[in-house]
Amino acid sequence: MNNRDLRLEEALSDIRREHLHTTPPEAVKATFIRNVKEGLRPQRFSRLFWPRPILLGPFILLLCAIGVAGFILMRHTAAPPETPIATQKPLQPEIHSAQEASVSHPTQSHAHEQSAKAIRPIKGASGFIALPSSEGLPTPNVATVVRMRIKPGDLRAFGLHVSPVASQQTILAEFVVGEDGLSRAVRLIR
Amino acid sequence: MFKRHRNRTTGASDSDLVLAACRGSADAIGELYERHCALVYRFTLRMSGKALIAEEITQEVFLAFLRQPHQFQAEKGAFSTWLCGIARRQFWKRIEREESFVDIDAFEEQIDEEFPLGPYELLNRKDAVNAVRAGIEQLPLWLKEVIVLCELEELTYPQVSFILGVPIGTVRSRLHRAKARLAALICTESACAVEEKLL
Repeated sequence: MNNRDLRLEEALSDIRREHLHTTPPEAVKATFIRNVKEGLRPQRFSRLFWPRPILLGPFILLLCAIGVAGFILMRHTAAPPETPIATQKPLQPEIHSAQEASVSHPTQSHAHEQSAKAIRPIKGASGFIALPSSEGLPTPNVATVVRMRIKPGDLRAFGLHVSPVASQQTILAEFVVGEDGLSRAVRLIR
Repeated sequence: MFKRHRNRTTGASDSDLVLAACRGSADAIGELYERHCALVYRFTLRMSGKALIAEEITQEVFLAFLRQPHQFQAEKGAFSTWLCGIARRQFWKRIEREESFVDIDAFEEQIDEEFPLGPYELLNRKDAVNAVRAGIEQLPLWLKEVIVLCELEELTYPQVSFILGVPIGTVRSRLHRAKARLAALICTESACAVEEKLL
């Protein structure tokens, strides 16, 4: 070790002595001890972590409210299902009475309103209209009600008179289908 | 948050105190702070040169410990060493955030240059101490931290290696380079002092 290194070591020794006497101010210690004993997080910590749950709660509530409102809106505005819905129902007696009636004359005005108006006079109590195409068929013991969306013009296939200028807009109809698969009556829902 | 236990913490080891702190003992936390806050404060003060930064980092280090006390693993190193590592990381983060780090590594080393003995004899000890103190402040941070930990805090090479996250050999080489620079500074200062005395 040369003289230069010796002087360096001496200088470092002196600096070390004064360095080791350095202590943090009492204020720092007091603040820390107070925070710990009071069980409090420091302000910076609070700023970082507390706003999150506080903001998260209203945000979740807002999302729930939007979800509920959307669900209610969808329930009110949703169209009836396009696919046929079949339910087993015992055949109602008024179908037979309606089947005996003749189908009324079609009118020349708008679409399904026209066809509905033309058919309305022969409705039974349940609103079903006997289909002319089912004349002569045996009365089914068990019938199935099939709900489907059709064009008014399609009712011609069942022997009903429908205006040729009927709207292309579809209407919802319920068909009474016998156990042989043939439609016996129809009811216009909308 | 922290339960108030009345434990005898004065004679307990750091590991025992850390366990007690994990259980929420305020006394244990206070005792750990009393034991090690000076080391953390001195290190950060010497590294930053600003008391305010040293105070803030000291607080942050112990608060980091309070948030996750279980992260300390006694088998890996001493508690003081672990705290010092946190302090160092906090300091470097702050430096990077504030972009106040100026690399003065362009300083030319004069390790092997021979200096005449005459000026050293004229240089008194106080001048040497002032020169070395100023030299430590001028060192690049990556050399300064080695000098502070090895020479001023008198930590062992493995401890410093753990704090810095570098191999022991790297610690040795950095310490050698830092000392060489300081010795060169002493020479420069001594030469100035000689000139002043001669004038």
